[in-house]
Amino acid sequence: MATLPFSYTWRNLLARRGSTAITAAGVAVSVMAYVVITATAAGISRVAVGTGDPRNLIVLSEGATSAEGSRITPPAVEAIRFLPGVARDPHGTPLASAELLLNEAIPRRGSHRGGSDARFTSVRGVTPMALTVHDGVRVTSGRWPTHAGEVMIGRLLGPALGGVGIGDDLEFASGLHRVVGVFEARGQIFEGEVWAPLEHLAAELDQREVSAVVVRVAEPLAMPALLEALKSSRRVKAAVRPEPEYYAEVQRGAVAFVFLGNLIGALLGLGALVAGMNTTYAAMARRVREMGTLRALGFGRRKVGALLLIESALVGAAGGALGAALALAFDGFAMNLMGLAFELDVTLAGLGRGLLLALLVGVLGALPPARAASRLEIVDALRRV
Amino acid sequence: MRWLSPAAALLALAWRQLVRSPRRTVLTFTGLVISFFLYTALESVLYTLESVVERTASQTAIFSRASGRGGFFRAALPMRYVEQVRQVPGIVAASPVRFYFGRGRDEGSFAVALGVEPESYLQVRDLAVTPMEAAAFVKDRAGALVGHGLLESNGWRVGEKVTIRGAGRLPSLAFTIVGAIASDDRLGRVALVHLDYLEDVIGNAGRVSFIQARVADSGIAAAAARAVDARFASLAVPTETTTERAHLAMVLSNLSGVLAALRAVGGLTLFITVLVVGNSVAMSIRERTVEIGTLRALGFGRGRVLGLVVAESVFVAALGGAAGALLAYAALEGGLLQLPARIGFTLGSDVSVVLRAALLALPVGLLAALQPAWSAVRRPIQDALRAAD
Repeated sequence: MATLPFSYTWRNLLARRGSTAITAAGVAVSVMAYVVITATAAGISRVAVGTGDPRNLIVLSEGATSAEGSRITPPAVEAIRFLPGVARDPHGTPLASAELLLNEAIPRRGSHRGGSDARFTSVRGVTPMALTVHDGVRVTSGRWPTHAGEVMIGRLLGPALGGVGIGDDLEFASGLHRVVGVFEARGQIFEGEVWAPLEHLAAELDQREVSAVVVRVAEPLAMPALLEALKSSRRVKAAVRPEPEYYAEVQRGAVAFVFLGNLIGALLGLGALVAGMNTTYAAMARRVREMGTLRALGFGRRKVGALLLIESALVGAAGGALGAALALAFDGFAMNLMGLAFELDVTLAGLGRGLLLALLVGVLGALPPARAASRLEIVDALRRV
Repeated sequence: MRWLSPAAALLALAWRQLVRSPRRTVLTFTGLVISFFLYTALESVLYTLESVVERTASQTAIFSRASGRGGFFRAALPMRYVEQVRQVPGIVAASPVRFYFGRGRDEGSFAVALGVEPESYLQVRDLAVTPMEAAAFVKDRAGALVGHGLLESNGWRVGEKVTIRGAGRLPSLAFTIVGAIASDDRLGRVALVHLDYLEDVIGNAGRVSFIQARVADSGIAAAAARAVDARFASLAVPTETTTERAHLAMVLSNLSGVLAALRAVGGLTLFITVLVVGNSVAMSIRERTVEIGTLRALGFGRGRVLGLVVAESVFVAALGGAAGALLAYAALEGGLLQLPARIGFTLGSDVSVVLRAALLALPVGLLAALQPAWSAVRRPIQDALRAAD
C-alpha cells in the first residue's frame, strides 16, 4: 500500500493553524532559551580557552594565586627579563612584559564614583612590549596611550560602560582618565580591560612594584631551562605558570550557566511536550472517523499512527528551527559579568542540541496519542460521531 | 451570603466540565505546574539576589578607603584617620579594618581574617554573636570570632586554637576561637581578630585597609560619607567613602545582564503559558460548540456562558499555578534545586514570591480563556447548533 502523500500531513497542520502555531511557539521558546543560555556558557569558555599564548609564561610573586595579589619589585623584573630562555626581538630586547593589574569599579557613563552604577573592570598598566608579547592585540581606532591620564580600552568595555568611547573620561584610581584608543585582542580577556601606560599608572598609585611579568619563551626546548633558572634564582622568588593555564580558570564562571541552561531547557521542553501532547490528542479526537476511513481504505495501523507522529515531529522541528533562528540573533551579543567581558557564542553543538530537544519534544509528545490512534478498530472509528 | 451560591454553582459546573475530559485537564494542569514551577524558581533567584541589598546591607554603615590606591584590600589608609572620622558629625562609632589573606584548606581557596578594634567594631556593627562571646573576644587579645561557614569548611570548633597559613609571603596567623558568627551574617566566612595582634604578626602597623563607621541615622549616611571625604580631601591620602547599600547595589549592578535575562525567560514562560492554556480552552470549546449553542437556545445569556468557560480556565490555572509555585518553594527551601556548591551562592525563596506567582495564575487563566470564550458566545446560535464537528 502506498504511503500517504506529504501534502496530506501538511494540509492537516494548516487546517488547525492556531493550534499548530501555538505548539510550535512553545517549542521555539524552549529551544531559544536553552540555546541562548548555553551560548553564555560557551562565550565564557571561549574567553577562558582563547586567552593566553602557549609560548608565554606568566610570572607572579611567590605564593600568589592571581596577578591582583602579586608584587614583583623592579630589580626582580630586571632579573626575570634577562633570564636564559627568554625570547628577544631583533634588537636584543627581551620579550618580557611587566604589567600592573588593578581591579577597579569604574562608574558607567553618566554616573559617578560611590554611586551604584559601576562595573568591575581590570586595569592593566603596560609598556609597548605588551603588544609584542600578547599576540593579536591591535589598536583599531585612536592611538596607544602615552601620557599620564591617558588610557585605551578593549572593544567590549565601551558597551559595558554604557557606550564609552574615544574622548570620554573613565574615573578610577586617583581620578579621571581620557580614552584615546580602542583595541581588539582576538577574543582574549583583554578586550574587556583598560590599558594604561605602566609608568604613569604606577606613579598614580605611588607604587614601584608590578603584578606580573609575562615572558615569551624563545623556543619550546628552552622552557625547562627557564623554569629551572627561575626556581634557582636568588634574586627572584616567583610562581610561574603557562599563560593559557592561568586564564583557563575563568572557565569556572561557565559552570553556573551550563547548569541553568540544562535546567531551564529541560523544564520548558517538558512544558512544550505536555502542550504538544494536548494538541495531538485533540487532533486525533477530531479525526477518528477520518482515520477509520484511512484504515478502511487499506492503510495499516502503523501508518495511521505514524501520521500523528510525523505531524507532531514536523511541528517540533518547525518550532526548533524558529527557536534556533531567534537564538542566532543573540550570537555575538556583548555581556559583562562581574568584570568578565565576553560575547554570546551560539555554537553549532548548542544549536544541534536545541534542535534535538525540539524533535524529542515533538515525537515524545505524539507517542501516546499515536499509539491510541493505531489501536482504533475500523468499525468503531467509522461509527464515531 | 447570597452571592456565594451562583459562584459556587459556577465552580461546580466548571469542575464537572473539567472532569469530563480528564486527559486534557491533566495535561493542561501539568503544563501549568511546570510553567509556574519555572517562573517561581526564576523569580526566587531574582528575589534572593536583589534582596541581598535590602536584607543584609545596613542602612547606617559607611566605609572609607584610601582613594586611588587600587582595591579595597590594600592597607593604604593611615590609622590615625580613625580618630578624625569619629569626630565627623553624625558618626557614632568607627573602627579600622585590615585584611589578612590566608590559605584555605582546599588548594586555591582563601581564609580571610579581618583585624579590627574589638570594642569599636562591636559598636559599629551588630554581630550575630552572643554577649558572652562578644565579651570574650574583647578580653582575649589572641581571640577570634569566626564565621560559621569558615568553621565548617575547616572542621573547626569554638574553643580551639587554630592557625591559618598566610597567602604569598604573609606569615601564619594563630588564634583562639572564642565565638561563632551565625552563617546568615555577611561575615559568615571570615574570622575577626584584634588589629593590634594582627599587626604584631604581620610585622607592620599604622595602615589599614578601610575604616568602617556607623552613622546615627540612615537618612544622613550619604551626607556623612561626603563629610568624611571632604575632611581628608587635601591630604596626601584622600579617602573614598561609600555607604554599604550603595556598595552592594553596585556589586549587584554587575550582574544586571543575567538578571535581565532571567526576567525575560520568566516573562516568556508566562506568555507562552497563556497561549498554551488558551489553545486547550479553545479545543475544549470547539468540541462543545453544539452544547454551547443549546445552552444559548435554552435562554442562557452570553455573560453566563462566557462566565462558565472563563471559570473553567481560571479554576485549572489557579490550581496548576498554586501547585507549581508551592513545588518550587519546597524544592528551593528543601535544597533539592541548588546551584553546584562551587558557585558559592545559596538559592532560597520567600513566601511573598510564591504568593505573587500563585496570584499571577488568575490573570493567566483569565487571559487564556477570554478570546476563545468570546468567539464562542458570539457565534450565532443556529450556526452553533448546526455545527457537525
